[in-house]
Amino acid sequence: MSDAYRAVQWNAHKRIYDLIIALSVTGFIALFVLFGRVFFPPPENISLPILLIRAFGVCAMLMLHIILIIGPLARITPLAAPLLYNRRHLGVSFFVVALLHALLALGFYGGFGTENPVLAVLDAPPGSVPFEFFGFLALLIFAMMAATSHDFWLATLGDAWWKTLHMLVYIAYTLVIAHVLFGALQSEPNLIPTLMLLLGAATVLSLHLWTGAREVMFDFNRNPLQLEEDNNAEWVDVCSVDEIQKSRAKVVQIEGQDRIAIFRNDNSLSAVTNVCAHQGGPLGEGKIIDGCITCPWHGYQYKPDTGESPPPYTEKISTYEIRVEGRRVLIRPEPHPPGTHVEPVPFDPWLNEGDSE
Amino acid sequence: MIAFVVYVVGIYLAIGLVLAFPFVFSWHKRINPMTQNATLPFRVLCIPGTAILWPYLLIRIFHK
Repeated sequence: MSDAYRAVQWNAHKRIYDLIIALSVTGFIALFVLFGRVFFPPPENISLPILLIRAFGVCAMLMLHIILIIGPLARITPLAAPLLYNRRHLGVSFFVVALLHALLALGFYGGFGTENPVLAVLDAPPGSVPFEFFGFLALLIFAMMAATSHDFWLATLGDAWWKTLHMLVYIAYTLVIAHVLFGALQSEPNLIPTLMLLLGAATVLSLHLWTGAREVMFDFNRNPLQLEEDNNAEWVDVCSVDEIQKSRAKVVQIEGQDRIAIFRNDNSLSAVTNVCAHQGGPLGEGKIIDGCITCPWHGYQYKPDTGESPPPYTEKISTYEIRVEGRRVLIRPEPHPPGTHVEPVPFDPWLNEGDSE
Repeated sequence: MIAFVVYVVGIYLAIGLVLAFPFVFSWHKRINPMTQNATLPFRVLCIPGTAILWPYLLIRIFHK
């Protein structure tokens, strides 16, 4: 969250997350090399440099697939939300692993020659598929993404440009698939690595299609609540208080408006936009922690009554007027400017349907 | 063709690297005032991104 910029905004959770990444990567590389040495011993089989190049390459592929499926998985199950929380650090770690793979390949295949080592590696023989060049282009995209994986760049580039830049990951992913398919797998007699690559690509694609279809169906099946054409037109009956769990939200959509999240904090209700000011995360899928609405994507927090992040942070989101009549929740669909105070509306949780307050 | 791309990328990044230093130590605050009191590690961390996005950042400064 934006305060004064620091290199890395660590907290206890992120430190644990990063420690797990570091241990997993180190463990994977060590096991890969160990098994490689045991099952394919030199000198007649794989040499140590090639084994290391492959270890970093396979590790990078695995990390890239995990990174790409975290987003859709978090839309399907809240169990994946902790992975999403610090995906940025996982992304930068992935880039470091991919870079080590590239540097090792550069040193092994292009080093100590008379030609420029980069050109020595990238120049494919005539008639062959330049799979090294695919990897090079993908690495450039990953470098750009890793270099801009900081809130400073999000603020400097703006939400739309930053997101567009980071959507290039799908082009880079396609290039990586081509890099592996036309590279390492061409000399691989065993079909299992090829099948694993295709299975990974199919998983990434199907999860994205599935969650995309779910979003489309959400909008298609749920008729936006209509504005009433009477004297009470500025208020819309959106749901019952019983539909909102404690410390959670119900997301509603009113015709012509963005989605609104109605949060229940103890026995009072507050309504805010469903879109997080950080990266557009679905606030309504988050919960109230320490009295603040907490985004499920990166943990950005907002006070329910004002939509402001707690000091010293400065993010703000729109708030809405809300009122309770009996068990029904009514909303005024026009949003207030971000950070506007709206008094939370108390309600009696024990009042039965039909009773008057 | 591949050699051409590699040299263009290399020259582009070399120019970006040279420009990155005035950017991270002075010019960034003209685009984003919150960098005024940023820490040294943060400024160092900004060098790769600045070296990549320098044309955009120059346009932002001159446009301002």
